[in-house]
Amino acid sequence: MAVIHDVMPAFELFQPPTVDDAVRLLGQYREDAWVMAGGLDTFDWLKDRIKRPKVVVDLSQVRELSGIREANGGLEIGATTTLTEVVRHPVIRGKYGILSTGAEAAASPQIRNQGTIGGNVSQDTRCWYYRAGWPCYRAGGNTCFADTPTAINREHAILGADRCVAVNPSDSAPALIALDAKFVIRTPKGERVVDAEDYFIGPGTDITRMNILRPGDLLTAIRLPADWAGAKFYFEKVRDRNVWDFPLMNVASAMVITGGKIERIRLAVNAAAARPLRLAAVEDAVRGKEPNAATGEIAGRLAVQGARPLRFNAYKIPLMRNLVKRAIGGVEQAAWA
Amino acid sequence: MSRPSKLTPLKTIGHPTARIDAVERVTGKATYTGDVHLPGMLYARVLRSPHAHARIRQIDASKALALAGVKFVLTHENCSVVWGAGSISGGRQYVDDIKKITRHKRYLFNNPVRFFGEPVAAVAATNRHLAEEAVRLINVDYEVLPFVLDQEAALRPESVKIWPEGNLSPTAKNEMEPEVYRRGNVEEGFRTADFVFEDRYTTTYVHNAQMEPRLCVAGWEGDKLTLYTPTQGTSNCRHDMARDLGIPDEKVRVICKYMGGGFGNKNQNQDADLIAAVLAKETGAPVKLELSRKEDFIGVHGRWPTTQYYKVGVSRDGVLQALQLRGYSGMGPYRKNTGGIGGIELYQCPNVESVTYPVYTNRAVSGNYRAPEFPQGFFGIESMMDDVAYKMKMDPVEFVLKNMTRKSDDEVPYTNYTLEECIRRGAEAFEWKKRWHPPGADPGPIKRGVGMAFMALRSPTGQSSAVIRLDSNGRYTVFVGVTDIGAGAKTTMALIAAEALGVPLSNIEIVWGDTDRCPYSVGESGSRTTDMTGYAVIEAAHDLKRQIAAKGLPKGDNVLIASASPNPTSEGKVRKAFGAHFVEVEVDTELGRVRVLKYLAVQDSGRILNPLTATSQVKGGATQGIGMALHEDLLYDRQTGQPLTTGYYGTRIMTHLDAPEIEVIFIESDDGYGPFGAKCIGEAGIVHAVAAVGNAVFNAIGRRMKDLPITRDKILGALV
Repeated sequence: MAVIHDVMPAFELFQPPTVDDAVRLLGQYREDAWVMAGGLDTFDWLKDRIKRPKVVVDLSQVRELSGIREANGGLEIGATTTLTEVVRHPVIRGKYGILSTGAEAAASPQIRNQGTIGGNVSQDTRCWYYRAGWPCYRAGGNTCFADTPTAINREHAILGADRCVAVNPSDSAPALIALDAKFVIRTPKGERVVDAEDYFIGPGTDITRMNILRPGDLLTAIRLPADWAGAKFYFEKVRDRNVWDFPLMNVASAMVITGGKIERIRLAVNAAAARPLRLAAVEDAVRGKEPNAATGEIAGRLAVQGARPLRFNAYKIPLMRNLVKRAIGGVEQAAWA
Repeated sequence: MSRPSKLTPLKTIGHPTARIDAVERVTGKATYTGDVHLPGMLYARVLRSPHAHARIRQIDASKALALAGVKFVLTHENCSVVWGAGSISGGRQYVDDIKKITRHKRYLFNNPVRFFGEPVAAVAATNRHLAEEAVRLINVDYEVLPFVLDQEAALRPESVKIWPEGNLSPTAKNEMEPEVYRRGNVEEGFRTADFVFEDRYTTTYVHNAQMEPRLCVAGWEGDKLTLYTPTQGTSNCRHDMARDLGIPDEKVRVICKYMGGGFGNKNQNQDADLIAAVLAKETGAPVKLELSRKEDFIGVHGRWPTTQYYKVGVSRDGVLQALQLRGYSGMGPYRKNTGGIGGIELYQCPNVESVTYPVYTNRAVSGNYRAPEFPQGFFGIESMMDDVAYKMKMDPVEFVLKNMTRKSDDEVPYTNYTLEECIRRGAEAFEWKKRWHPPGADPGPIKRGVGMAFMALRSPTGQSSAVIRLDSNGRYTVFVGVTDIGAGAKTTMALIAAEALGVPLSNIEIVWGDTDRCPYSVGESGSRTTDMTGYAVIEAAHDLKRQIAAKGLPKGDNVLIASASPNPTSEGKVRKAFGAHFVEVEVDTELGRVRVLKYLAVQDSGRILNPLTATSQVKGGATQGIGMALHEDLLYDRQTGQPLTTGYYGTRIMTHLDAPEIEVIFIESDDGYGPFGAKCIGEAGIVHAVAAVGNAVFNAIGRRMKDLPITRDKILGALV
């Protein structure tokens, strides 16, 4: 960072009008291409010269990638639909409110007007070492600067670390996992649909990527199945500021309560690990129980099993325990926005 | 906002008045430095050190110079200009004699480089992209040296010596001594005290984070330099530039019409100004240099971080007997300001000792930020005293009323004294007795708590100048060397002139922000412009009225010109503004989250000249204080000495959603000094805000947060 940059570098810009054109370009340029949706994550990387793609494929002209439509009783959200559109959409607000809340927790109004749902789930980690261009594992090097005895790592991982201790910063991702969303991907070989939690990968799978997209792949849409429409939802995000801040941690749960007991549940946290974590063991433990404070306590304790704090992030363990507790049993006093 | 005033109302002064340049600003007509484009202008960029401390073995700029369009590269090898305001013994900013003898001089380009982000080279090229590309092509061979970041650690013998004499920054006499203040005998005081308490508090480096980063445009016509730069003091900046470049003051013209805020970040001249001026001289073309946000965060300055050790002796009935501070201030590797730690002076106490060590470290340089030495010191001592009150089982407000200052240093009377009224009225309006509860008593998990802190802040009188010209059309043109850093100085000067002349505001025109057109003004620092330049405007108005009385109103092409350069003093008395802040917070003890629910600021800044802008000043200061209390920090990697959280997002400066509704009550007074009795206000809102928030957090959770900022991790850590 000897040179603090203030202007954009040169690159070749493509603005394809269709998904087919975009996929063809991505197939042609592979590792040299950078997919740009809203540009919020992109511009910092490029301006700082930390990522130096030769080609930028700007998706802003691909109309078929943007918009929200009903599909199979649920919804299909185009990947370049802005976060603001997601937040305001009446069906999302009415039936899938957790996604509206999660998307609204991201960034600031200006950023949500430009940032997209596909970009929000696909954004890179905020690890300040990685972002400043340090040659770490994730950048292709052979060390993690955030996991040394003196490293500054209050925002880093307590779970799932494998050499790299960075976390995923998306606020919409845990909501999408709780809703059992499906991610639609166009690859050079055709279309592929994966469960939300399988879209994200940890450093054990590939230390240089945060999701399954490979060069040439494109996330085109996110589908919300009807199964969880109108469930009992809980979303909470903890951050330093009330706006324009990535999560120190967030939690999302969807529950179907029958006869006062949890019949079905999906639960996820983010910013605890390199990928948003679906807490299946907790779901199993609380299914059939009443969604009360006692069940919340059990859930919270179970959720943090195996957590390993770094020097400055031990607080994330009680934080995660309490967030999961609230996601199941609610909060004694109303939480504020 | 409310104003329980006993003062006689005035005609123009004291009524909510929109800024006279509001329309220009909001319609984009106002010209900022960034809008200045001169014919043939070159663009500069700066190469900065990637190390916290390193010796430069060699700089190879040949590849950069080989690029077509690159005009010049400055380095320590071809530029030996000393930046006088960048480092001065004792941190005494405006004293040329000390600059001359200053041992630890700061050059525009230093070798060794002593902090990450220190300028190593500067390039002038025909466009910004080219300048940036050229900077990338400069090859520097560094010998990396050990470094030290912490102000207390820097004084340990094993720490690297940043300067040959060591890391204690010298006094104004170049003596390697701490800054000491004593009265009475603290040892004796502790011996006779019934209770003695000791504790340690720390504060962090926070950045001014003003909207507009530092930038400038410099151009020479013959031997005269014209500098467009956002500065909080055109007169001081001109003098600084002239001294550093070795030319007479009149060969420098500084222009600052509009600027995007400063909060102390733009006092004096900055290395950017000098770099642009030298590059313009070398290339024979005007040069524009704009710092990016990241550069501004590490390349200019912020508030000095501190470590404060307090020892407090009290009698059984809660009266202070002895008060001791040992403090360490991290100045970065150059001494740009005093490194003082204010706060001891807030208390009445027979035995006092304050020993402060301004220490060199390899962090970004520390300097002015809105009340430079106060918010950090007030946080330390007012947290400490809040804790003493708690341990003495006293209501903190009662403890303050018993022990607060009544005379300056318990000796010299104030020009007027309203501190007690500020506190009592605030406690009443806030319903302190109803809201306060024993610390941690709220069962939670979301706990409420209240805190208060008070202040007395210097409000000196002093020298400044003004000129007023009256033409035959009844137009009064007021020439004042002010710039408007956001506080509304232009409007304030117009209000004062209209009131003093007894004419409508619309008859007044202000000429400002240009050293070739305006007389000396003290500069927008230390909350002094209204007091000092405002007073000069009144004196000039009196002069004009005398002339009118003698000669009649001007007719035809005639004009009358009046001027004044007063230097009033408050002999035998100390002039201070007073205030008290009351805060209610809610702490979510499961998530570590703090939310400010209610904020009341009671302020005596003498007579309020414009309630609109005065209220904004108090609110803005309190808002910055809340940010410093709760989340602002510039984190450094300890292996490399690199800053990790530069910029608005990284350092977590306040947003609109973090700012609570702040209620302001003005206790107006007229002590007979200043323009119509006005006292300082610009810095008055921030100084005690940090402590008030910290004390409220303590009252909520029953755990004392001693290290800023009070982030979620620290709260959860304290409660586990």
